[in-house]
Parts: sequence; C-alpha cells; structure tokens
Amino acid sequence: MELEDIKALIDILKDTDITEFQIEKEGSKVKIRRGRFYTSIELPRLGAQEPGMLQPPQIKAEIEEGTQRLVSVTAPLVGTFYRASSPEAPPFTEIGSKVRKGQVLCIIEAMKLMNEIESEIDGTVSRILVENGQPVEYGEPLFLIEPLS
Amino acid sequence: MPAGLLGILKSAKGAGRGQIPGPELSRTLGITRSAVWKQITRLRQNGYKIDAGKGGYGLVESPDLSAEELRLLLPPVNIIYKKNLGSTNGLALSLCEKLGREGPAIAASVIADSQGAGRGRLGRSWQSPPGANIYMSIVFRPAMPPRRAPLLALAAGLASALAIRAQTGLDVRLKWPNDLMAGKNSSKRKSKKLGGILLELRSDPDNVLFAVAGIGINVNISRKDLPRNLKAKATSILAETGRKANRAALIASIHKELAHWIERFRKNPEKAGAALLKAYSGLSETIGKEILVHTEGKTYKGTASGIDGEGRLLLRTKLGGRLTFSTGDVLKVRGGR
Repeated sequence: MELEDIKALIDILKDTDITEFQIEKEGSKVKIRRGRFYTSIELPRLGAQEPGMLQPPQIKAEIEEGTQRLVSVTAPLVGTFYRASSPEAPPFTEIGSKVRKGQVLCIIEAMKLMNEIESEIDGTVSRILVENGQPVEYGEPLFLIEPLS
Repeated sequence: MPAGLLGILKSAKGAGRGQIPGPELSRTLGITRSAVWKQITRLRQNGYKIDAGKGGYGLVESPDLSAEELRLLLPPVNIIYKKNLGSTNGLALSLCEKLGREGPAIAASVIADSQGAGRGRLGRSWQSPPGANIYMSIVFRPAMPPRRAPLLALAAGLASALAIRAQTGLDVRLKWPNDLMAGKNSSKRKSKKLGGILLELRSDPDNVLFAVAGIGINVNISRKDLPRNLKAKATSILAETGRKANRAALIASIHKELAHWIERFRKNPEKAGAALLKAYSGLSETIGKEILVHTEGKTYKGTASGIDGEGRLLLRTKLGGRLTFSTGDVLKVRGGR
C-alpha cells in the first residue's frame, strides 16, 4: 500500500464518525484509529517478509499534529468523565485555560466514588480529548497540557 | 475533659448509685468545684440531663449523639463533631492536607447533627435536618492504586449495612453500588432508601492517599417528617422498626466495620477484594433482578447478572447483550422470586 493510498484513506475517514478502521491488502495491514486529535497508523516494516517470521514486526507511527511538547493527563481508573462538579456548574477548565500544578482538571466517577484529577504541571490546556459524561478506560488520555516553559 | 466527669457519672448510673457529691467529683478529677460546675453546665448544653440535688450530681439521660458520646465510643481518631456544618465531606477533604500519609486505616472522622449544604452525587443535595440522622465523613488511608478504589465504595456500603443490621436488626440491603435500602421489595412494593454514600479521593497517579466516605443515614426521623417530595422513595430506621436507634452507637459500629475492611485491603488486596464481593453480593438487592440502569441520558434494561472483580455492575439484556456499568442509577428494582 502506498503512502498516497493511506493519506487518501485518512481523508475519507476525517468526515465520518468512524473511529477505528483496519484494512489488509497485498500483505500489508493498515489500522487507523482516530481520537479527536490524533491518528495512529500501524504498518508492516518494509521488507518484513523475511523467511521464518510468522509475524512481521510492526512499527507504530504516530502522526501527531504538533503535540510533541504536550503532556498528556490519563485516567487513573475506569469510570465516567466529568468536566464540572455538577451539571449546573461551569467546567473546571476550557481549552486555553491556564492551570497550576495541583489544580483540578476533571472528575472521574466510578460507583459514586468521585476522583478529582489534578494537573501535575503548570501549563495551558491545549486539548480536551473526551466529551463530558463519556466513559473512559484505565490509562486513556484525557487532556493535553502545554507545559509552561 | 468532659469524658472524665461523664465517665464517672455514667458508671454511677450504671451501678445504680444515683447522685455523686460535688466535692467527691472535684477530688477524684483533681479540679475545683467551680470547674466541675462548668463541665456540668457544658454537658447540659450538649444534651445531657443531669440532676443536681442534695446528694450531688446524677446523670438521668444521655443524648444519642454528642461529641462526648462519640469520644467514649469511637476509636481514638481525630473526631470533629459539629451541631451544624455546611458539608461533612467538604470539611473532611480539607483535613487531608494536614493528616500524615502514614498511620492507622482510619485517619479522622467528621460528624454533624445537621448540614446546611449536604450533597450527593453530581451536585445533588442531601436533606440534612437536625436531631435525627447521621451525617458523617470518614477519612481513611486505603493504600491502593486508584484503579482498585471503586471497591471502596462497595466496602463503605457493606460496612454501613452490616452496622445497621447489627445495631437495629433491620434487614438492610444494598442497591448497587451502595444505596442503603430497607422495606419490603416485591413486585407490588419497592424498597426505600435509608441512606446514601458518596466517596471522594485524594490520590496521586499511583496511589490513593486518602479516601473520604460521606455517609448519610436516616435514623430517627419519623415518617411524617420525611421531606414530602421524598416520601415515596425514602425511609428511616425509626419508620421501619418503630424504635429509635442510638446514633453514636451506630456510628461507632460503622467505624469498626469499615476499619475491618480497610485493614484487610491493606494486608492482602486480592483476598480482601474476593471476600468483599462475596459478602456484598449476599446483601445485594440488585443482583438477579430485572432492572433499568440510567446513565448520561440513556436507559438500559436487563437482568443484573452480577458484579465483576472491580465492583462494576453486569447487565444482561433480553437479546443476550452484556453490558458493564461503572456509573449509573439503578432506577427500578423489580422484586422477584
């Protein structure tokens, strides 16, 4: 599969609700996973069809749109993601909010146990990766914070 | 210390000795007679009925909840008792900063006779009138990674249910995750809510530093005094048993049960988790029933098939689908069997 084909695929998927897509063609496997702001592609290494190798080693290439400097905040437990302390309250943070180390970013609730997630650094909220009220998995990225330099 | 004087008066009452002369009290306690009088006044202000006569002072009746009763009955933790407080969880969370990370399972306890701004899940309010109920927040050190912490919500529910059962004989059951329910639960009549629990954590990414269990229980509020809008859904220990319960004794019993589970978790989390789920399932009114689960604007219908190892609710739908919930309101529990 050519790079052009992959680019075309990503373009097509951009305007859809599809979050995960996998295609196998001519011995190569392409898996596209779309978060809100990143796309990751797994594809076999060129020339990986060496004899005796059942599973070609896969490389994981992440196309990040200028996210190298960002620090991600991940979910420490499975639960429901809330951006505010109650449905009527304003969100703890918005994109562009300045946050201090220890400041509450969100709440994850599991079984009436409310876990306030705090920022571990001083910085600016660059991305909010989960919608309010959505379930999150253990280790799932929630926020990208641009550290104060 | 009021407990010293109170201790003497209580044991005198227990022994049927009646009144104790003021001079004897001041000698035993090593304080002046006016200091004795000050303490007696203070105890009376806090709800103790104390007779003063020719024979001295005699305790007639103790309140069912006071700072003194709590200090006599609870383990030696930091106890804060207030007649009125905004929210016990709010104060308890602010204490965490001052408490050391190391120490016994239970670090502190905040108890109020009434709350001005009692709260439930997601900013919901919790009605907290004075003189009747339990509003408390227990601060404990579970020492476990956050991803296991939801089991603490079940532990707090189980501890409360076991304590009420032991103290009052009431058949308390748990609605997932930890609503305390009482009353007949059948196809004709649904059980009612006796109490609710909200936990809040202070944690770093790898470890829960403190957990605060906010526990609200309707104890001695009469059926007619329950808020009108909650009458169909809420009940109290008094309404169910017809007898008033001693709040301080109930609180002490909840502390004992909770400390037991937290200590087990600190020793052997795997074993404790398995034992907890077993005990919890035994008191569940949700498992095995046909229910509706409401979460984030959607409602799911099915049979509650069990609880997984992390305490999540498993739902089997009519079409054979299997769903797992970590949050949600169990809207309807239809009785069966």
